[in-house]
Amino acid sequence: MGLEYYLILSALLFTTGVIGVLIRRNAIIIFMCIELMLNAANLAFVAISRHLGETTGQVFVFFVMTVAAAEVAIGLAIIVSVFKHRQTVNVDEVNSLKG
Amino acid sequence: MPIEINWQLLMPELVIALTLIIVLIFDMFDSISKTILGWLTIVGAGIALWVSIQMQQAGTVGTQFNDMFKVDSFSLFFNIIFLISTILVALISLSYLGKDDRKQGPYYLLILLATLGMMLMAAGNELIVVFLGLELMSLSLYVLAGYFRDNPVSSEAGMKYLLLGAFASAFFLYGIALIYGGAGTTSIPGIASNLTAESQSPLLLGGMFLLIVGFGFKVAIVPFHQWAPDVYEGAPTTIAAFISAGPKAAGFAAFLRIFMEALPAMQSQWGDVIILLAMLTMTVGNVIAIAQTNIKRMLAYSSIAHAGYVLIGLAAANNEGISSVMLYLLVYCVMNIGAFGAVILAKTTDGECLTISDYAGLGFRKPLLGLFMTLMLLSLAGFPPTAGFVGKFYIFKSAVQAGHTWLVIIGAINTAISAFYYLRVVVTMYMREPEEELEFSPYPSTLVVGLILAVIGVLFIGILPSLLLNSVQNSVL
Repeated sequence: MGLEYYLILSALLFTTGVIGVLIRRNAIIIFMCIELMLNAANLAFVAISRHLGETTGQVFVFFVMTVAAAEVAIGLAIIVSVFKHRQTVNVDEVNSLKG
Repeated sequence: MPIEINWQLLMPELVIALTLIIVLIFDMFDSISKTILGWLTIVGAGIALWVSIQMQQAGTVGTQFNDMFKVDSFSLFFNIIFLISTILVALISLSYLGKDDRKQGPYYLLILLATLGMMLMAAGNELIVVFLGLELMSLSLYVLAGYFRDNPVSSEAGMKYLLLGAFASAFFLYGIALIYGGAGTTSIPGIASNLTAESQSPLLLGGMFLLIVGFGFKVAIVPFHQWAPDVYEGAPTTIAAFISAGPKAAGFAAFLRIFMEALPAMQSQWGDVIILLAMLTMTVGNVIAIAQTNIKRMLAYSSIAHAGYVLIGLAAANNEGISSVMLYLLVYCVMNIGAFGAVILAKTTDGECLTISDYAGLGFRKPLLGLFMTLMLLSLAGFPPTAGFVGKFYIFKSAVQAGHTWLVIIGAINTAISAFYYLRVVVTMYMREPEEELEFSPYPSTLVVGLILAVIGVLFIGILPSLLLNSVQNSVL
């Protein structure tokens, strides 16, 4: 199969993630959508790497997975600390900072 | 295959990494007073700064780890900017954190980690390294923004920064993936050599725009700036100072490296976008800043506007442009941290003075505070003989040389607008009577030392810019 199918799939996944971040209000779901965007990039990396016949892209994916794991650890901790104060993770209700 | 490592090239990074480990170890022992950790950070960053200056003067150049890591005068100059920011922020943090032992260790550890991330971004010669540096910096900053967990506002700032920052990182990463597809490599010199004006694919173009979006979020360019005021207001004031200085410089360092070194062949596409973003960023930042009543939010919009001025230099895209951007970022970091430091200095017994009306009458009753604040705001507004004037002057000069006269006119109008809201604070301090008597805490000596250093920096660069200018002009890519 050609590279373009993989790239189209990855673009669709990425777009789904972006739309999810923009329309969902639950912080955890927004966070999951961001993970989806990262994985869309991973898919593109692997597909392009395979297409070019070299390994840089696949190595990149390992790094991205590590970074994503670190981001989840930190992200969930921050979301938990917000939840402790407000008993909600809805981003529309967490709005004491504005102006 | 044995890898030869030239340790000397990596000295600044190694010193920071070592300091970080020492801070981590010292934090484990209960018998050690934790206030020493801040001083350790300052000493470590000071040594790294000294090493970077020495290497910069000697004109050290070299690459490491299969060309992934490039040390040149450009990256060393940015190291100097980051380390100066780190030292100043650590100095103003010493008194801000108070005596609570549990708070000290992770704080300085995360500041050092973020600094290391910035240094990797400036030295990254491969998009992987730039991405990892960006994430190392961002992840540390998310935690720092939400550092005061007991304070709901700080946690909220942490969450907002996290969600928007991670969103931006994903754009950045997807941009890298597309550029990898279009150019066939992620190495910055490799992209430049694979790329000619004819070989441009839609993949590259898309990747380039996604990179602009990702960077735009990280350095708070309009229309990707919405997180900045909220985060600056909610985060601890020292961290707001840190986020507004070093990471912005690091973002621009990587931006310069990628766009000037890897994608110069596509300048016809990104040049106009940068000009448009520069106009939007300056105007929106300055106009919204006028309406702010909270001084941290005002400084946040002012820092957005300053990113706009930096973009003018980027749009010039020549050697003068790059050197003026580097000079401006150095000046901006010193004066912005100084301004936030002055906000911390204005501390009453109930907390910080955050509304601008709280500053009424402060100029005469607290002369030192009034002096610091006035100098920093005048420098941010760009009055001579402060550093802010020198920085703006060279930015505008480089843009005129590149033929962007209109952009400079808009920049000058914006400078006039910005003078209005900076001077309003000064007027409030010196010409208004306070509505209520506020009880002020005594000045912490370390904070005053930090502010004096910032003032010396601002006046020194403002009066004798030529001393620095040569070094900057030799540091362009």
